[in-house]
Amino acid sequence: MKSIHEPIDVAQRQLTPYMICWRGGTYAVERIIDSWTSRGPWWGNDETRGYILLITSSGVMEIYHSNIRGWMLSRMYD
Amino acid sequence: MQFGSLHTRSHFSFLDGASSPECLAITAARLGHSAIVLTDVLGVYGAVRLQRACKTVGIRALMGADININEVVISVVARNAEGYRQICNLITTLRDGGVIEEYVVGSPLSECVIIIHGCNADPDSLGVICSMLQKHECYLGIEHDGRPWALRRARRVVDLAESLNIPCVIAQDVRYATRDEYAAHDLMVCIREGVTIHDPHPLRPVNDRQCLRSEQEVRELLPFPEAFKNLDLILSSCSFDILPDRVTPPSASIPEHTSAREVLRELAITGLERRYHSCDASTQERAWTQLEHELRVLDELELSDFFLVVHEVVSEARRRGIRCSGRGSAANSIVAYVLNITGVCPIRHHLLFERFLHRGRKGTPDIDVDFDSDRRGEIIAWMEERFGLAQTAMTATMIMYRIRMAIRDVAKALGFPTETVRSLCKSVPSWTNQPVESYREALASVIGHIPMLDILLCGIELLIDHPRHLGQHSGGMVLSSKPLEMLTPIQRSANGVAVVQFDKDDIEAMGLVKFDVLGLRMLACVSEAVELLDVHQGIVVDIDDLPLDDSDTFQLIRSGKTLGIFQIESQGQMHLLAKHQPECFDDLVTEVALFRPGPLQGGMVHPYISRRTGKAPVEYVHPDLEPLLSDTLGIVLFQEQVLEIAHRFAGMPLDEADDFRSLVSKNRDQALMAAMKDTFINGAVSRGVDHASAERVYDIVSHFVGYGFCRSHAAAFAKIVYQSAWLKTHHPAAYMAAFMQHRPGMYNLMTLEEESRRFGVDVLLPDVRHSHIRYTLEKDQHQRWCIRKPLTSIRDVSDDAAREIIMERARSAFASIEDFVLRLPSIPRNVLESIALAGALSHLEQDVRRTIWIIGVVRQRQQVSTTGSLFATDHIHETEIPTLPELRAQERLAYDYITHGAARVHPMTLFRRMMTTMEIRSIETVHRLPIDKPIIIATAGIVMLRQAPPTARGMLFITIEDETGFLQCVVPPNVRQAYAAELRSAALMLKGTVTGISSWRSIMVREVVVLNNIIGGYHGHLSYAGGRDTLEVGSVVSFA
Repeated sequence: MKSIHEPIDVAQRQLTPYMICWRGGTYAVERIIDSWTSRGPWWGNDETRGYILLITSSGVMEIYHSNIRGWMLSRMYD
Repeated sequence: MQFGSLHTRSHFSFLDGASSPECLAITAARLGHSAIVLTDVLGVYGAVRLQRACKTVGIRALMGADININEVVISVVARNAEGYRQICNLITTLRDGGVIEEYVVGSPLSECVIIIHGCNADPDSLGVICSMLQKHECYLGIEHDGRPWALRRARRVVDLAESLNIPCVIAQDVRYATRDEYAAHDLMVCIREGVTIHDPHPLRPVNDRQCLRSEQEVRELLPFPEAFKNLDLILSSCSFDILPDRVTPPSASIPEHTSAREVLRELAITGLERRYHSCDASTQERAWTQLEHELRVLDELELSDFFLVVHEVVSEARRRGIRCSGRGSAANSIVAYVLNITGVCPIRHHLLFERFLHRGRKGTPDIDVDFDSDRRGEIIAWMEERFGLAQTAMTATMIMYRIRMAIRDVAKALGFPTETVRSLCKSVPSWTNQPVESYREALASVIGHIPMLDILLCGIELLIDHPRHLGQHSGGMVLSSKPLEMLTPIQRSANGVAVVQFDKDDIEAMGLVKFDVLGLRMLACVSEAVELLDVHQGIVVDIDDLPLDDSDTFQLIRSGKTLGIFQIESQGQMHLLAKHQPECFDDLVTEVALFRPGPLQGGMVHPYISRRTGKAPVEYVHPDLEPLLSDTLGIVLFQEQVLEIAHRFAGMPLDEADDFRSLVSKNRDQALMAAMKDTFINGAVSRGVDHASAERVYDIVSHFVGYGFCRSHAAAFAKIVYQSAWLKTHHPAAYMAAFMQHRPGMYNLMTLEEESRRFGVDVLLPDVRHSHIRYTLEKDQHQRWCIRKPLTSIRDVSDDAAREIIMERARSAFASIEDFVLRLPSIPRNVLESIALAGALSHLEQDVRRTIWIIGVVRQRQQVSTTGSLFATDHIHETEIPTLPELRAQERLAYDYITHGAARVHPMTLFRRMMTTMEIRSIETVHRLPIDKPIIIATAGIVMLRQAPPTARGMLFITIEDETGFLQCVVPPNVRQAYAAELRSAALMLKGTVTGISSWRSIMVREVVVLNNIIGGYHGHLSYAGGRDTLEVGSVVSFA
């Protein structure tokens, strides 16, 4: 597992991601494994994140959509 | 298909749920839920509020409770009233220490549905719990909490349910209504778990998904249609309403073949004939008419039983010789008067029954009865026996977050050090309703304008007005005709008292009767004074039947010598008395009512005094007000007057007028006030009043804000004022002895003893030959009555120790100090020394230091002799005793303060010669000065009181005392600022201009000097308050 935390582009169909663009590469989403949410400290920036754990053409990725940063790649699993 | 939240915690799951039941109901309705089930932790505190709120928004309220078995949360939901009773019973048992597993397994929960919340439970425990509860109607609850693998966990529970053949149901874990309230929930969890907001904790939320959600949203998250069907099934099958249509008072003792109505009528008629037999025909006629009217209203409202029960309690108290007195609006009722519940004639004092009760009133009226505080426990015990332990319990109070409590908890959760937390709390007033943001500067004065200040304010805002824990009402006893466990769980307070889970408003809404059994120390004082008179002086006084026009008593009141008199002993009241100069009982009623926040803040005191003294004409804003306000000279002083103006002047129906009166008094809801203003003015205009006058009258009435008395309450209190003043006037020894015993007032013991001496009553030191456990009376050599201080007034002397001394001296008198010590082997040495230092052994040995030495040696030898030493000897020879220096005068007085709370002579006596040389005058001199020309004088004394009321615009009032009397000194803001450090000292020289009115004198202070700087030379002097600061420089006290 590798921690990334970099912005990505995500193509969605009916709010479901089907393509991820990261560092010039594109990754087709094959299956969504899980999703969950988190909310940052209420006394801080109050960031809300919606996480998605998915299987792409080149492995498992954990991405999230933040109300502050947009789409981000959180982690990649080998 | 029905949908709703099956597992909802409100803020009555203390420091967990973050929304009120009302807020949950409104949000649920907005999301399209058809019902909501409240499942607070081991409680149904929110049942009444939820039911009411749900009725308003048109959804169904259902009740349940959450309990925890082996870390697995289960919700028990009531199917009907019987199910609710079973839940109440379950909670009562569990809170009483019942074993949860055994109870749930064995208990009859036949009318309940049990939901086992499995998604976050340990699988092994879950399996055990499921098999344990399978005999009940039980479901496995599934939820999606928005955390990783939530759906997978839900599926696992569904699989388990299938394998165990238990149905599944949708049961989202709801802790707040909307997502934004997640912050309050998180903060509460931090406070509850004792961690800071920067610490991780497994129970802290990671997201904001424990809110109410729509059916569609939940269906998208949890694709289990069967579980939704089961939810529908549960919601459809449960139905329960906790709010009855009628009051259920406890059953009064009624003979067979009669009704409560008939018994009440008979008792009332007998009482009326007794109370009014000597009145003129017109008064009797009015009394009869009023009685008939009240009996009709009581009958219509089905309150006859309630009145009979109160009558029964009061009669029992009287039978046992326990002094009691009805207070509050009940004194407006002639039925209460003729039944001896209250002691003030409503006809004679023009009391308005409708302030107490009217046909539009919902629920039971409040009847508050004060009992002798010493014996209140007896009457509570009797009530428990009479009405049944299962039918009686104390009312709860919800302790809500107010500003200081919120600051303390939030600051701790933010990680501030304890000392800073304390300073932050002290920086704001203890009770205030200002917006949180208004405390920014006060809090910044402690921690500065740092970013954390914003977080602190934000956190406080999140907590304010949420309940923190359950408290116990000071006297509200719930009396029920059926066992209370059918309506509420019972939990035990820290001191073992049974308390219901509802506050007084909820109790009323549930149709239960609350009866306020209050303890009033002044009643104990009056009772004891009467007893002392009887026992020692052989004088029997019927204190309840005193003529209310004793001229000596009124002379004392007018003179302002009211220290120790109920309600009128404060310096402010003494000042007001000098201006008001009461001449009759009605004036006392007014006096009591004038000195309240309502009239004070409404600016009604000065106009009233001006009109009374003829300095201003008596005027009415509108002629219609004259009959309503004539006896208070056109000024609104009583709550009844607000009600009557709303009713008669603005044409509101009585129930609406009473709501208006309540709203004006509380001054809480500005939007409602605005609406009421329109109703008031429009009502008055429709009665033919011009708009401008209507507005002016509204303005006057709406200024009656804050706490003001109703006339009946003021009259009930005025009677105690009169009784205490009468006793002080005619029997000061007995009265002051009783007063010192019960200490119902605001002054310290030294001041009380000085006051006794000013009234010609000596206070004798505690003495092992004569003192008892309580204050008693003795005659001195001049045959004057004196007060003897009890042994228990000595520091460290318990009731047990005092009893032992008294029993031992009953056998034979103590012959010497040695004899005293040897005969009381179980009394510890420090207690014996305290007795010696107090001077209670001075008849045996004058020199206190010698006494202490002997006590030490005898006790030591006693111990040695018990260990069998060869060298132990029992007797002390005179030659053994070393020569010790005698106590100096200052030391003597300081030890008096330390050991029995007051010096034998006032400490200022020691410095009088020096002060006279310095032209510092005694307080008595100030009182003798004329006030027709400005006189500047210096005087000095020990500070008795420091007061800086918010209404005084920065003024500080300091009351000082010397051996000749006491004096209030007014320190203007500029002087207060200039002498801020000096003003904190315990003894002061104050210089200023003498002001006053009638017998009242005061000083407008210009200059302040610490007295120690003048008299000097007494560093290290022991303090009466403990320590060594009484007359010392730098003895700093707080103004708070």
